[in-house]
Amino acid sequence: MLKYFILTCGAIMIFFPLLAQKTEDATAIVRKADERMRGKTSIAEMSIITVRPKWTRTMDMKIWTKGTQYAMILVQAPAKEKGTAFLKRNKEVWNWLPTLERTIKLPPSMMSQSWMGTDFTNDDLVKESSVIEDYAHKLLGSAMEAGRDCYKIELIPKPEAAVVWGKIILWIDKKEYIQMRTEFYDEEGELSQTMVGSELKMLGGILLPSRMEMIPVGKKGHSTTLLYKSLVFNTPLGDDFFTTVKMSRVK
Amino acid sequence: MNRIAGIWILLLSFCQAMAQTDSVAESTPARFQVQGYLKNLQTLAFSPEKGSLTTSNFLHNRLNFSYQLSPGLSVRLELRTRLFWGEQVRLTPDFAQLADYESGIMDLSWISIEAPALVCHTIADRLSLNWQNQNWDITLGRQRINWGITTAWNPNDLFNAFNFFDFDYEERPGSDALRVRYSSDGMSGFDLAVSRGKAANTTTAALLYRFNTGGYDLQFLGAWYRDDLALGAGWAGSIGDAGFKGEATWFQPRSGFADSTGTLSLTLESNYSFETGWYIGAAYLFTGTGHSDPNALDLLTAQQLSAKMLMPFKHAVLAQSAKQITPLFMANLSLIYCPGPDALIVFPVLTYSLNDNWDLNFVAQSFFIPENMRFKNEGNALILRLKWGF
Repeated sequence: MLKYFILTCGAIMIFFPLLAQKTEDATAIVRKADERMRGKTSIAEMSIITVRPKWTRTMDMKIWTKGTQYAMILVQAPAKEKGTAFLKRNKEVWNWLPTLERTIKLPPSMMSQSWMGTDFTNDDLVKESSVIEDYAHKLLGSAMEAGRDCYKIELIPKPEAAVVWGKIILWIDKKEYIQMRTEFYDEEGELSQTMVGSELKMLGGILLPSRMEMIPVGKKGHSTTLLYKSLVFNTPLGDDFFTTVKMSRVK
Repeated sequence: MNRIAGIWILLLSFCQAMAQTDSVAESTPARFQVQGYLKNLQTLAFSPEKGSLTTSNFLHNRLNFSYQLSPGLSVRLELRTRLFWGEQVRLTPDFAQLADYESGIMDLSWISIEAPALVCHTIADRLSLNWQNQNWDITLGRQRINWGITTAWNPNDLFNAFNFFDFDYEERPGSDALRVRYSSDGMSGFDLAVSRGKAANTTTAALLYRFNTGGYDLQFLGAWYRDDLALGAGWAGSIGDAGFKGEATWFQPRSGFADSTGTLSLTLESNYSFETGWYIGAAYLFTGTGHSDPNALDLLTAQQLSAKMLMPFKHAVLAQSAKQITPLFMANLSLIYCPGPDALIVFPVLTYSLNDNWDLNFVAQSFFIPENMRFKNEGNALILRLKWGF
C-alpha cells in the first residue's frame, strides 16, 4: 500500500514539474518547471495498473498534494482496500485503516522500502527534488517523440549525489513542455527502464499525458502504468486539510 | 430484530437504485454506500495430547451501509452474519447461544437458523448516527471506539480490547456509546466517550487528549472504567528509522480506593522495514493481573479480554517478521513467548492475492507449554480462508 502512496506522490512531484518555461537552457527548464509547482496544490484521480506476464492488478486512488510537504491518498478500489488512506506531513506518515477505524503511524523506514510489484524505484519516487539538485543538466539537442518535437536533455548525477541512476535522458516537448519520455540508465550506462507519456489530454488546464507507462528493460511483459482520470491544479487546500482527522473523513 | 431485518432489506433495495448514480458521478462520493465481504473459513483444530481432531466451517459475511442524510449528518449500519456448519457445531452444546453472545445494551442480534449441525447468526455490530463539522464529531449508537496507538496490544483501548489471535474479526464488536470528539487543528484534540453494557458494572466514561509534537503522536487518558479508575498514556514515534511506540494504563479499584492496590497494563514496541521488503517488529506486554499457570491460555478468548488483561500471563514478548515474497504473496510469522509459564505460540499467516478482490489466506496457530524441559504441543488450529471483497 505504502509503495503506491509514495509512487504516486513521487510521480506527480517529479513528472509534472517538468513543464518548463520557454528557455533553452537545460537547467533553467528543469528548475523553473520545478519551482512552478512548489507551494501549489494538486488533486488527482488515477489508476495504477501493474502488469506482469501472468496477471494484472489495478488500484484506483484520489491524491491531494500541497508542495512537497503535504500529501494525502485515498484508495477507491479494489473494494477490499477502499477507504484506506495515507497522510504525509513533512517526514511523518500515517495510515488510516477503515476496518480497524484507527490511524497507524508508520516508521520512517517504511518510506524507504523497495517498490516490489511496480517498475519504480525508491530513488525515482521519494527524492522528488533530486531532478534539480542532484543532477547536472545538458541540452543534447532535438528529437522527435510520438510525433512531437522535443528537447532532449541529459541528466548526469553530481559526484556527491546519492542517486541510483548513472544517467537520465528526458524528452520535453518544445511547444507545450510536456515530458514525453524518460530513460533511466544504471551506473554501468545500460538502459534500465523507460517511462513513456501518451494519450495527451487537458488535465488541470494544461495539456498533459494522461497515461504514463514505466517499462523495465529485459523483463518481457512487465510494466506499471499511471492512468490519470482527472487532475486539478491550484485548488486552495489549507494545511489543515492534511491532518489525521481529515484523513479519517476523506471520501 | 424484525426491525433490523426490515432495514436490511430496505437498504439492499436502495443499493440497486443507487448503483447507477454512483457510476455517473465518478468523482463525487455517493450519498449511499454499501461495501462488504464474504469469507469462507475451513478450520482444522487438533491436539496430539488429547488425541482430538475437529473440523469446522463457516461463511462470514459483512455488509456495511452508510447514508449521508445531509452534509454533516450520516447513519451507519453494519451487519455481520456467520453461517456455521459441521462437526464443531454438532459437538458443541448450545453452540448457537455461545455464538449469540452480545454485551451491548441494545439487542441487535438474532439466530436465523438453528439445526443440529447448522447455525446462522447475525449481529448489527454498528448502528449509529454521526454528526460532524469542521471541529466537532459526535456519534451516538453502537460504534467502535479505537484508542489504540500501538500495533499488537493496546492497554489504552478501553472500549474495545483487541484479541491478537482473533484475526478474522478485525472490526471487533461495537460499544453502545456516545462519543464526542473535538479538534481545532485536525492533529490534536479531545475524545470523550461514555458506554454501557448489559451487565452490571460495565459503564465506562473516558476522556482522551491527543496531540502531535516533535515527530511523536502522544495521548493521555483518564477514565471511570467499570470497577476501576484508570489513567493512561501512549505514544507513537521513532528512534532513527525504526518505529517506537508504547501504551500504559494504570487501573485503580474504586472501592477502597486508598488502600487497595492497582494494576498496570503496559506495552512497548518497535518495528522496522528493510529495503529488501522484510519487515520486523518486536513488542512486549506487561499484564499486572496476569497468571503464571500455563493453563490460563484458555482465558485467551475474546470475551475474557480487556484493556486490563490483554494476555493471560504477566509477561508476553512478540517477535514478528513479514516479507512480501512476490507482489501477490505475503508471508507473516508471529512468535509469542510468555516467560512465566514458558508458553509459546506460533502464528504464521500466508496471504495470496488471487485477483483484485479475492484473497486466499492460510493461517496456523500452535500453542506449546513446557513439560519435562521441552515444549509440548497443546493445541493447533489450521485455517484456510477465502475472501471476496465487494
